[in-house]
Amino acid sequence: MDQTLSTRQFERAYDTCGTAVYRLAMVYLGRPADAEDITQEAFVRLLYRAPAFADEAHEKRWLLKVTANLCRDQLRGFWRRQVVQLEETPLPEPSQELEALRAVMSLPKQYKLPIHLHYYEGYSVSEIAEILKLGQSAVKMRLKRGRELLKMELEGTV
Amino acid sequence: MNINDYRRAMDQIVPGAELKERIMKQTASSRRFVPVRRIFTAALAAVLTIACLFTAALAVSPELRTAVLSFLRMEEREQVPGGSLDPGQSSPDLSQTDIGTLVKAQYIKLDGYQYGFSGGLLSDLTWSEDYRSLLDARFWEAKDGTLVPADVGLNTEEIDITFRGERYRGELYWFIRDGQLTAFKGDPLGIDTRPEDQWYVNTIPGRTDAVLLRLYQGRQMDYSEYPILCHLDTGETEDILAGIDVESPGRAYAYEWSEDMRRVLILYNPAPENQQTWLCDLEDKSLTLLRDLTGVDAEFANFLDNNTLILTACTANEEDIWTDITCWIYDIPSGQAAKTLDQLPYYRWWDEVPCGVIPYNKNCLYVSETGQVAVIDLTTGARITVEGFTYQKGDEFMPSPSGNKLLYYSMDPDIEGLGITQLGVVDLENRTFIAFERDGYENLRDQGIGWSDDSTVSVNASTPDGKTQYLLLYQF
Repeated sequence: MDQTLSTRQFERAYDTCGTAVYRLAMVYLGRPADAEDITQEAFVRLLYRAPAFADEAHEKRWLLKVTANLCRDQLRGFWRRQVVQLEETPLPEPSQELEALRAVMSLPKQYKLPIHLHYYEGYSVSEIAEILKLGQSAVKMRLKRGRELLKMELEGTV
Repeated sequence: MNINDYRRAMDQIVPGAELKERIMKQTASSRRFVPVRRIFTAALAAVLTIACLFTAALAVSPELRTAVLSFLRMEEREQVPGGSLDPGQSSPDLSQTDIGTLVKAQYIKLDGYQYGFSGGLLSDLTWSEDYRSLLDARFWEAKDGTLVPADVGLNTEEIDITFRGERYRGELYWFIRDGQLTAFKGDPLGIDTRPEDQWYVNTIPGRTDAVLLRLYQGRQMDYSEYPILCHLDTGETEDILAGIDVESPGRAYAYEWSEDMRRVLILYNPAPENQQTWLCDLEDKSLTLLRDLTGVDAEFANFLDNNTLILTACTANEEDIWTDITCWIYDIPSGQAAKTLDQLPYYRWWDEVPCGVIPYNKNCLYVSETGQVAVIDLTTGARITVEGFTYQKGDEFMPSPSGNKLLYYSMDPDIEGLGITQLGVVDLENRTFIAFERDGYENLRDQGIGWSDDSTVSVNASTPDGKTQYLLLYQF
């Protein structure tokens, strides 16, 4: 059932989930300008189509789901070149962190989103399946393949 | 470098403060509402549509009303093996058991990840560090309960093709055994891939003299590929689409061949709003937009046989999620199309009460709100009710290579790995569905499941410490 959001609720939603939405869009698209547009659009959807959420975690999963969909639509645009352009991103220091960021963001998109959602956002397989609208076996496979491609030590994982 | 480096790097990626300001301004603009009455009207219309369609489908033929397929949950349960290779125990190590009278299981313990299983042969391939060159290859087949080394007569073909300014190189390995051709190449990991590695090899049904090489360029939306025939006896390559202007609609990114390779469906432009499927006839060297040929605006098309296509159209909502699905069967020689599935809801497992159809090649499953299941033949629209089985979240099905069987498995979401708790097979020709439960599935970390051939299901697994790999084979 649709409902409307108060300005305060909307601001709280942005403060709680805005950065996670932006980061997911960055992982997917690689460019701040694109990630900002997607973040804005995701919150437009929240504003106009706000479904009833059970709690904040549910709301965040819904926003990330919408973000993943919007990013996918964005990538489908034939006008957009499919290049991860980290050069336009404020780059972290030191180099090991930059290397790690590059490694994950250079993964094929089917792997980098599950990797980001699992190892950064801390979502379980079933939650990632819900967000990305995949079967759980597909998420597990993608995490496995993503780990293999990363050639990165994943100790200290969630 | 480890995942904590990634976390620290990602912590530094934050949106600018002006983005919040930009977004908050939206609350001041006018809101859009969907009137409740419209929602109810749409929901009622959908229910009525579905009810009418079901009535129509059931009215097609009296015998369809009584077509049933019974589910048999076996009393016998599998005792899933576990444990690492013992010191001194040779690898690969085979043991086998029967699960009741209906399923034969073979368990192969392995000392590494490099093993594979295909065409009834277990293989151990040793690759160079860059995964481009094969250094050693060993094969085994199961005979009388043991693994016996098999000499396959492995051949090597040097590939060196220049196409669209790119040079494709590498080694192609192949052998013929029991009339079946097996062909493979090295597989450098994604981030180590060089332009020269950008080709795949596919065998051709019924042929042992040639393989299809798929040369590709670009990534994601810029991805394109082109098929080249490679004759294994001479090493010569042939442009199988020569004389056909297949690039007039643009660059193709996927091809689906009829079994006799006289026709091919060619897909252009990955962007969905521009995606086009064309039918190419290699004999009369024609290329026709599928929509113009069939009169059907379908998103997907597949060959049912050399002369018949299955066409599928899906309706998506604003979030680009499929909501319903329609299928047609199209006879190419006569040009006749017949609808076999009409706007049935698409199954979305994440819904609170999921219900709808799940397509699998030439069949689909219809799952009701109460979990009752029917198999719908997309070539005829005929429905077979599955009796005694209730579909639950976590259940998965996978079609066999022929499409005549469905692998069934159920997973435990709470453990590492796939956690396969039940395993079974739906035989659509013989109308049987048997499954068994797996005791001790947590002994191993299941990493993959699939069909090795039309009668063999394989599960890849490892011990929790990852030191010993398992290949579990099931024959139903």
